[in-house]
Amino acid sequence: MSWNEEAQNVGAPDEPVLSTVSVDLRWDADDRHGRLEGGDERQGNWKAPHAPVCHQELLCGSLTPSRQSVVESDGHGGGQQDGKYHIVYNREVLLVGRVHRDRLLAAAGEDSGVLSLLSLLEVQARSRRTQPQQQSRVKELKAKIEALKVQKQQLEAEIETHQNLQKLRSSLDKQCADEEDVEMEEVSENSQLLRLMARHTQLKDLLHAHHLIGGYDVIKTRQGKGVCVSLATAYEGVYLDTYNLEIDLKPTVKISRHNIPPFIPVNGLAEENDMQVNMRAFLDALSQHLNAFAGRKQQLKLLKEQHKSVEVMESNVLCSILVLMFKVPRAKTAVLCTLDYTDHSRCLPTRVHFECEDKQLSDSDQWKKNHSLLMETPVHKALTAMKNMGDIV
Amino acid sequence: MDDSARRLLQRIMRRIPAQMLKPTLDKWGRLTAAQRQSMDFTESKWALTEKLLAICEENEMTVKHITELEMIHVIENPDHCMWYALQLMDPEEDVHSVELTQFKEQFKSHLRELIRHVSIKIKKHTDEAVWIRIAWGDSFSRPNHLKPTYVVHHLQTPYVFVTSLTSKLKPLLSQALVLSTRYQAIKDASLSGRKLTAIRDLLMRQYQQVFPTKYPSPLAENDQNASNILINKEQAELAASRHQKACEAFGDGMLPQLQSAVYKLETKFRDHTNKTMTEREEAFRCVVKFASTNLLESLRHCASSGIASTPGTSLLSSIPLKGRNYFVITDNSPGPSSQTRQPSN
Repeated sequence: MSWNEEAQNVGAPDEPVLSTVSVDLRWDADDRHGRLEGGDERQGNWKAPHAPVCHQELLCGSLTPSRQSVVESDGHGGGQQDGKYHIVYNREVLLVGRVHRDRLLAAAGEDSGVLSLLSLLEVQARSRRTQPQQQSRVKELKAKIEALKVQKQQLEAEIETHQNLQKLRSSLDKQCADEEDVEMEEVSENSQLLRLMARHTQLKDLLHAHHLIGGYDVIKTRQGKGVCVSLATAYEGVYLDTYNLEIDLKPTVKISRHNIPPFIPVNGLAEENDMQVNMRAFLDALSQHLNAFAGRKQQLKLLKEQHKSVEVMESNVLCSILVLMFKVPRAKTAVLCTLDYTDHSRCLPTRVHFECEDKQLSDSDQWKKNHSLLMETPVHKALTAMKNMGDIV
Repeated sequence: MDDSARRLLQRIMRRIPAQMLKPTLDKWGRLTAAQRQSMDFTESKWALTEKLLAICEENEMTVKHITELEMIHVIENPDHCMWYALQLMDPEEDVHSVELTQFKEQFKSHLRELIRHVSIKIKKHTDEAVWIRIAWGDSFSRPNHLKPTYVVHHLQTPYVFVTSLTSKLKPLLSQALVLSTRYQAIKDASLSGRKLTAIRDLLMRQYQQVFPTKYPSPLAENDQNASNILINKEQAELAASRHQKACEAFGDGMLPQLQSAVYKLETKFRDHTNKTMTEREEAFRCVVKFASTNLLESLRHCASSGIASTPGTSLLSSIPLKGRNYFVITDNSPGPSSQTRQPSN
């Protein structure tokens, strides 16, 4: 029989049954005493909506003056002492009223003996454990309140700034549309900063819109009969070369000149994507090829800069093949690694192949891991990882 | 060392300028340290040649080794002979997967199939260019090393540059190139010049091209000791726009040093004042040649300084646009009333 059940069963059938009650944690319950000493009168700091009924009242009628001595827990087992008041701060609060041990034992049923004593002890131990928790929990909650107050202040300040920013931004947008002169309402550092921030958000939004429409700079040439498209390339957040295409629109859509290197198949892509009909698809495909090429070229450059111990045996202008020579630290052999980038629209290789005199080396688990590493990460980063693992020098 | 090797070495030594002799020999690396010490580079070329011959005899060098020396020299100084550009057409499916060893094997085997006695040497330069030296023989005679052909090709590009190729041997080389680079045809790119770097940069667009932009970068100020500030102010904008248009047509910064452009005209004579010539039916054939130390630079200057009106004639701006410097111009449309002249391809 669990203690809960015992609590419920204690008392005569006509007495109100004490059940476990869920308690609101907003109690300022740093004083256990307060809860009990009130007895009938509820203490001011006891804000619980459902005040758990004092078991003691139920069972013993009124609070005896001797209850003072029993409020503190003495941490020992039940033994010969009278029942103690314990409040357990959990979701459920078990109120163990002051009950005579005999009464309890009597109420426990026929097998009053070891089992029931053990359960008593268990409850005591449980309640003892929760007491220090009460103190620290209280402190915790207080600290949390402070932190939340600070956060609230911060958020309020941010909201205010944001509102000012919005106002400035809308006035800026209006200014840009009307091209009026800028008027400074207050010449103060704060307002200048706010103006800068407003302009910054404006530019960011513009960039985002530009990115959404495909990100190509297009301007009209030849009095509207042609366009010049700029394709920017970037890798790992660094802008690299920009390529341009001049396209005639009248009488037919065709490319008149460009500065794209000859190994990127511009005309092939134009045919594949039917440039006449779907310019955007063609530009997207071309941009993908160019960015992939720029990425591969940049990887090769970084590899040469960062890993001078790795020898580049072969490369080509399109950066579609890379043959590297690794030196394995402990063994005397070298490993020849071939990276094939047959898909020219990607920065990662499609095939990695190791060649080594020591056949076991290339079949070992370590090098299988290196194989997948080279397939999935850019080559300069993969080599750094391999160096860190000690596979290559 | 046989006679041909000796003659070859003498020829090479004549070609290499005195100051380049030491670095070239060092790069060759076939002389021992002692031998290198014994060469006194302050002596006359003739004396050095004799010394080198003696050393090569000592080392028992063959023609193969001597050709290495020649190749090193030519790669360093490619500007002493005329280069012609060829363009490969109609790529096959696997053109982008051609890699160096495959190309080397294929080229050698194809050329050897076509002509029995041929000596081929292939070397890859640091800038990804593949240099090929070919000495031609025929069914009866050994390869003639005194008249080699040099071929330069960048893999994955459709351009090939060749020197001194007779018309008899051109089809053989073309076939070997086409088969080993996985294209279907090869044609003359109508671009030639002495400076290999110039024609290569022009074809591969390695110079700075200028495109119309919304925000052209501000031009550098001209020197301010011009007399009248007001004139400058008036003319600055015009000058800037002229410069921009000139750069769009020809490029910005350092331009490839093309030295000549040839226009072969096969058009009817048109001049109202000269009735007799205009009445002739057949085309008036003439050749117009522009020559300069740096042709593109001078054309750009013409346009930006206002001597020539901008936008310039498309005939001149076709040079960098199409990457060629030999044009044949014919009348496309029949009849004397037509004023259009189109460069034919």
